[in-house]
Amino acid sequence: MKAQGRVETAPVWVRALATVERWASVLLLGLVLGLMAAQVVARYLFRSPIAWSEELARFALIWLAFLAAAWVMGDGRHLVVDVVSRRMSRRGRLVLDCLSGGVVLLTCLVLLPAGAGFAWQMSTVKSSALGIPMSWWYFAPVTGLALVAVHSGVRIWMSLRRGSAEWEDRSDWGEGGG
Amino acid sequence: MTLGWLVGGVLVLLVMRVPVAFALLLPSLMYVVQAEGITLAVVMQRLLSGLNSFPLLAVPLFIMTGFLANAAGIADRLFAFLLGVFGRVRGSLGYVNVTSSVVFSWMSGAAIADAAGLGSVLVPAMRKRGYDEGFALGLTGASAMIGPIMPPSIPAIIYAVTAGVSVGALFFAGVVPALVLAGVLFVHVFVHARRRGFAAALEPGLDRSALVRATLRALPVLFTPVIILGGILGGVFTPTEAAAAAVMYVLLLSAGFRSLSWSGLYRVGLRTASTTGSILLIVSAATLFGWIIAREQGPQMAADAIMGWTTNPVIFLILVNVGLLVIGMLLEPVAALLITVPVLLPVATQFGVDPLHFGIVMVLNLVIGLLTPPVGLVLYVLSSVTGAPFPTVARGALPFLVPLLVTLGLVTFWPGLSLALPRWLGLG
Repeated sequence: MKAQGRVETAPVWVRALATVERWASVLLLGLVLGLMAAQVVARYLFRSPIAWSEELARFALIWLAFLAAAWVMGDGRHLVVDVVSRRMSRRGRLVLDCLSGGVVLLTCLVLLPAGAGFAWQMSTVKSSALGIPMSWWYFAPVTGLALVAVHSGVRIWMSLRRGSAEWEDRSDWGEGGG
Repeated sequence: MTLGWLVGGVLVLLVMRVPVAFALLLPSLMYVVQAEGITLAVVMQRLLSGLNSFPLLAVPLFIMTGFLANAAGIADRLFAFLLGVFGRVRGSLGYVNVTSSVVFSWMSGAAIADAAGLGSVLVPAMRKRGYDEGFALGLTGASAMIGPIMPPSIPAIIYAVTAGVSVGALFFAGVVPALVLAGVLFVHVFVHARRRGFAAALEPGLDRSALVRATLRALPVLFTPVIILGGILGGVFTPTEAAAAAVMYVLLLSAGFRSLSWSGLYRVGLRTASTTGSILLIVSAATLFGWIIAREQGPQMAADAIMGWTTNPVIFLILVNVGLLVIGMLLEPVAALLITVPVLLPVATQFGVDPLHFGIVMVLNLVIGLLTPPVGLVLYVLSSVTGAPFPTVARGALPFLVPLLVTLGLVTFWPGLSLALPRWLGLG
């Protein structure tokens, strides 16, 4: 993977945050893998299926998705449709970058207060197999979107300070699943 | 009317280079805020329920299998073995290229992983032996499309989860169409080799003992589909567990080959996590968006509009194919599936199209867009791993749209290609 110019120039605390997000994502991925493998082994080798492995794996997947999404936002590698922007001037691209960052920030800010309140209310409901309070599940999107808001705020601030869009000279591709 | 604003809002935000997930999320939020009888709590419930699904667990695991297979140098082993098999045939490296993609596709579910892994081995090898660079690049790109059709397949999992069909059945529905694509590409290579007279490309071939050695070295790789497909078919695993078994198996292979360091493994983990975060955030947002589209009767309106125009399923499928080819040129396949399946599938069902067949048509159609500018991700990947300029890659890929579209036509209008195998296995 190409070195990300942005991360090097980001403030120390943002880089530290990205490191935490990265490690947490990789560890959660390992947990999903380990749980699914253990589930097969337990069923066939020990003839005693684990009742909670599937639920814990889904819980890990949800946290993985939102934490990794925050980190990908910090790296500016979310999938975008790059058609019109290619033909714009340097200044036009800067404006576009700030606008699209603003849209992300606005989305998070609209959703977060009500989302956090709802997550809080769900603490009395427990998941079926492990009894994990549902608020812990809902805090995954809340945490993820809060981190996304931080990253996109920093991203706008840095683009403005440098006077050019963050993706100006990048030739690497976004992450797709096709 | 509301639907028009919603879809228009998404399009404007996409053009503004807003990440796909947020281009879906903001208009959906605006809708919920102004709609009567629902609150933002609904948004949270949909965002979570979109990801709270057992089949989706297979997505990161199959992504990881593809990246691991790349890091473990499996492409090199395959290349040595297949060169021994096809060495004496005119245009041999073309056949090696397509067959490598077929074998690689048993371990990987995304065209991007295939293009990255095979492109870095096959394109330099073809260049060195005097093949036209554009042909080498285009063929590698086109044969990478086998990856998301042949099981395991990331787009197939996403379609199955969105459409509510069985992942296992859709996996098996993809096998024959993937082989048809390989066959059509074989014909393309044959014709091209004849016309260009690839005499210089004849290889000395391997002697018997070298061939046996190369075969033995490649054998563990060729065994992968037995684990994944055999495991699912035999009822040993669910597709999700098969994904975990596939990761474990490829990890074991790379330990046996001594081809992967700890830092290499960490990098595979990072790439997998970042791709997962990118895709699943879109899955989450698209679940909310799809729910709103359904609440506003979008599928019924689409069905009425199309039914008012034609009641002929053939014309419907032609319309869908043309529309999806355009969408696929602009949008990554998984994102495009998540947005279009909730609208198109109910209409297709009304036309009597089988959901499994429709899934294979949609996936094949949308991945073709990976090979066309302006967005064509596979073109960027090939340019990046081979060092060829982007325009060279795009020009090289252009002639291969013919075999791809021929395959799309066959798969669209011959449902048996997709449905016979899952039905015969009792899955469809």
